[in-house]
Amino acid sequence: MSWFRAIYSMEFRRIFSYRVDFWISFLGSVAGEIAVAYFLWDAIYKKNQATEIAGYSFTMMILYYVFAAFGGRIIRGNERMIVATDIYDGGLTKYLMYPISYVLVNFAQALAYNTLTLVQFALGIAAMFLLFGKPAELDLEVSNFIMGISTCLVASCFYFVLYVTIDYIAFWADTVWSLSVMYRFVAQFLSGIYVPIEMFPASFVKLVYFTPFPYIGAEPIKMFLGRSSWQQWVHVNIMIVLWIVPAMFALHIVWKRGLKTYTGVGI
Amino acid sequence: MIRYIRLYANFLRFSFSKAFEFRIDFYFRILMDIIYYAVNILFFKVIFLHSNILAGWTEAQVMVFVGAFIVIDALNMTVFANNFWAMPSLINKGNLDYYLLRPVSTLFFISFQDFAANSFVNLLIAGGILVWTMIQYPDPISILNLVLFLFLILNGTLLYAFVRLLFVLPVFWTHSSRGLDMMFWGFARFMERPHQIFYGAVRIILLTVLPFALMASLPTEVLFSSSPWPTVGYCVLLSCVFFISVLGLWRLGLRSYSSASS
Repeated sequence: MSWFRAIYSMEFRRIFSYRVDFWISFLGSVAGEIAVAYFLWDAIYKKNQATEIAGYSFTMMILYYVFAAFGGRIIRGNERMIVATDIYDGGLTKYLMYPISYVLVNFAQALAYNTLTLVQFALGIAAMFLLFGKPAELDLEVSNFIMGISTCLVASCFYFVLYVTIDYIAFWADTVWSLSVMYRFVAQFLSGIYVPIEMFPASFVKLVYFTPFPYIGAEPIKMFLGRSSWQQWVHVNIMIVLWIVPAMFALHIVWKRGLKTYTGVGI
Repeated sequence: MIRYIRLYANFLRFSFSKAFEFRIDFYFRILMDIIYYAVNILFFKVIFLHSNILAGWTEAQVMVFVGAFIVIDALNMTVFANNFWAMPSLINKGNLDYYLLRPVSTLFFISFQDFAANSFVNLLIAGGILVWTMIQYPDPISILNLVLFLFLILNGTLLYAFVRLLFVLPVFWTHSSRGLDMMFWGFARFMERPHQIFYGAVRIILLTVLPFALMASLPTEVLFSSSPWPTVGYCVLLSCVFFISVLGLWRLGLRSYSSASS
């Protein structure tokens, strides 16, 4: 697997050659997400003089969004549409001639990006606690972080497989950018990144849990907040893996069919 | 002026023929924006399951606000988004040369040349949603307030474009393709929330240097206000300031432009 290591380190070098972009986009998106959530929920809690909404105190609600912002970046990884670009410009051809799996090449690149999102997570959470202090309601247990981060990484595998499957639509479609954005909107809304799932009507929550999305958003966030046990951790991760299997199958089918239509135009 | 109108008519013609060449993308984009609108409406519907009022607005008023910002988003996606997305690449690769040689304003040309015909369909849908939210609003709205509201939505669309350009144009110096633009998208979330929820320094910033509050939230406030004129005057004044700033930054940028790859 030395080629895997080589691609992984090359991707690192690529990201670091655009490091200003990388950090600016991180700071801009995370700061925007957290600040908007803070002011929105501050207005709601104050107006209703509420101490708790859907089981969340104001502090826990803000922490929910903090972990959603940082954890969400680990889960979503690098949404760069590398595959679609390779299909459009014919760059895929060179990978077809190598004795390596193309999807593993993409996975190595995604893994490099994920490693850096983990660093961002650690730095971001540490900076938040240094700046604003550790909230009294939050148990800073190492086990919560181990559960949360490991689940985010497994969830990122599921997100990656679906993302690449959508990218493979590029074999047939002129552009797939809009499909990827659609996927992000739906995944983020149904996974509780925009608003905690407990706030939805109960019947809707039941339905959502028949999809993979709560397991790749709300559930890992709850682990960071100390609201999950190890049994729940096992359950959530099994559920994600169970969803990865059909997703991999779909990826394989779309890849096989797509290759039949691939002409290498652009090379 | 006539020459520019004729030029824009040509841009429209080419853009529509291009859109029909890429039919799958045409439909995907329509679906994408419908999902974006649905997610935003559902977001506030869920919030109002737990609160009767948000920043002094009822659910019906917030829905009008949502209608306003999705119309602004649709207008931007239709008229400006493709052009601003391509701008860093034109500058970095030196392709701006070909535009500088043309006997029309380069900034006009590269800001308006690509009209997103597929997003135009979404603009009609977004407009429909705005009309629907206004019909749902139970109290009467005066004609004057309505006219001022629609005018400020157009003003907000331009202001949004000016602010985005201020984030894109530093590419003349940074040569970095996406960093500041991505930062803009992070800040643009402030447009999607009522401005009354913000306070302190953030509120001042949103009303002045990063005027996201002036794009959809203040226009919606004008719709329900009994004394709208000071707000209207302020919104127009700030748009003029930002327009002048964009022109200034563009001219400065052109001085630094080195035509890298030509």
